[in-house]
Amino acid sequence: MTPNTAWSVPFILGPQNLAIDAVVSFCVSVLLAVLVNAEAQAFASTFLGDSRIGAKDRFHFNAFLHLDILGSICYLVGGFGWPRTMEIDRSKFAHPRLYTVITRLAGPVANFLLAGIAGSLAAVMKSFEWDPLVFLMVIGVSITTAIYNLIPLPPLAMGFLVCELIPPDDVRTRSLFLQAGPFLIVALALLERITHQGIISPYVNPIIEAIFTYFRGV
Amino acid sequence: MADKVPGKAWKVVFCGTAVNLCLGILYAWSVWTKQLISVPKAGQLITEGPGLGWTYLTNAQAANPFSLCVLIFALLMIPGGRIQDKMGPKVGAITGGLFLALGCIIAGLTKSYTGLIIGFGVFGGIGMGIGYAAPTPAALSWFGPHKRGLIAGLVVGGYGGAALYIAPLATYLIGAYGVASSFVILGIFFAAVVIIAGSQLSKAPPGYVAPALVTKAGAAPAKAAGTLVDWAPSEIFKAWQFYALVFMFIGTTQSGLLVIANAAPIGTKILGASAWLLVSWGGLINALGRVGTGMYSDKIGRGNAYAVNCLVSAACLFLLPSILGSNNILLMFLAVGIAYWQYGGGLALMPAYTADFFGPKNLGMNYGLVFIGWGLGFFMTRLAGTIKDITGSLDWAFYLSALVLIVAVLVSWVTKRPMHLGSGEVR
Repeated sequence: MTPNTAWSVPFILGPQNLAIDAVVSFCVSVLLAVLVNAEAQAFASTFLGDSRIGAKDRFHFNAFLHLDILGSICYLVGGFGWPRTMEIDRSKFAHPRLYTVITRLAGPVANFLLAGIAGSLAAVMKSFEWDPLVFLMVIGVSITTAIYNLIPLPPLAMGFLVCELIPPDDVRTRSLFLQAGPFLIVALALLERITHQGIISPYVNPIIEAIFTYFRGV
Repeated sequence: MADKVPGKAWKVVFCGTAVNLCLGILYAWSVWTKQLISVPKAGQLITEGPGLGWTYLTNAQAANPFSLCVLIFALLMIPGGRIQDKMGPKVGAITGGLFLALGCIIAGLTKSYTGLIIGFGVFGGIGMGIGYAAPTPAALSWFGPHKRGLIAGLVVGGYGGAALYIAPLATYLIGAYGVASSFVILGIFFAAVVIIAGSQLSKAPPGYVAPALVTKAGAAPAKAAGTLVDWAPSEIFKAWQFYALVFMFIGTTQSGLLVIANAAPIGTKILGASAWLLVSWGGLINALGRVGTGMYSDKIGRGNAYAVNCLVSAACLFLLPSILGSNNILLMFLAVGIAYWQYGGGLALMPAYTADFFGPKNLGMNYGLVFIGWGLGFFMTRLAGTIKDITGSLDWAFYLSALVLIVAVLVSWVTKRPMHLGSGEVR
């Protein structure tokens, strides 16, 4: 793929698009998407009552420390992923179930915000007749990260919503769901990649493409 | 308490400016791309001229190293602030500067698009992200609140003013030695400057008390007054004033960029071959706006300085549709100048505001958090595009931007320094 051709959205790394600019742009976009997703969760959690001065897993704004192994593998396999799950002390929330879901949803919301900023930067570059290809990659990866949170498996946002619907006294099911979730998501992404059969992508990709078209401001 | 800062303080300020004068190479990027872009010949080897040995680039290829540099800069700015806060400004400035220098040398030696991506885009971005956060907090730690505006303006003015000397210097080097050598020479030059200037940077020693403004008996107290408590980054989220600062940053950024992104391209089209005049004018005013705004914010107070800049800019935005319609070059220069001054002024005011509100110790990280407002300010240019699609003109975008500025001024008037409850601070 030549650099003056728009990179695909969602962008999935493969032998056909291993050009240096595409790979570097994708990696930087992933780091940004993971960073804002995790820090937004940290912010929402703090704002809603779980304040932790000196906590090691939040507000350091170091993208590398937010990378999750399975989440990163998923980015490489399926073009979407998630940050390391941030610890939340639900007992500090006034409404534990609701606030936990809001905290987890803050991640994808922040990804949309990032896509908006990148879209705005792209608009500024276009006004100077500069090609904003890299910023379009940031928009694409951010939106992909946000929309794939619709998959109802943890650690994606909708997965945590499902988790909250499990009766609180059924600790075993909840724990199993939380542990198996990331592996199931990676397995689904791998299965799609290997078989070339759409499992999740036919449902979410049209949404991603429509939102991307809006943000890029054609 | 001494009434004058030690000589070391001014040395830190000017060395900080020198470091930023190297880091600001980003603004001069187009000087190199001009030599390398040729869409019809993209991918072919350049066989003559300054670009000998390189291959021609497309517009997208030329923009990609710049875009990556901006993104990596943004990604590392807050961790860079943390490095400054934890390990000191010497480490931050020298590490950042050396990354940039190495990036330039890699770009020059490889003579390739890959070299530009890795060298300028990745290494340059890392260098800027780590280095940019180092000089300002170090310089501010030596001065009291009554000088913070000027000091922040002088140090960040170095970054804005870099284009003024790097662009002509690079143009000369490209003409005399070629594109590759110009990168290598500048890389070596940057390395030398950041090692010398960076090694002179230091924070004020523990126990140092910055001199306060000497006022005559019975005179009004100093306009700029700061906290004596150093807020931790996680604490500032609890103060509503943090959100007010972010909103104020959005205000200055959105209006400045709206004019820069829309009026400046129209102006350059009208000027044709003399378009560089408007670009250089913008660069000059951007740098002067940082120093000038910082200076008068110390005299009249941050809030008043913010209000002056924003209200003049708002008036300019209300008049902008008429100015653009008139095709009057003089008025165009004036409008672009006001936008750049206000935009640059915001970049000088906000670190000073952050230091006044949350103390100098964790300024690197705290200012990085307030800097989120700068990113959010870009929304207006995107929104302007949507408004133009709907209404057919940018007029309502300019009016909306002016209104945001006015609201930001109102916010600045009601925003007073927060009290740190944990330390029992009183105003």
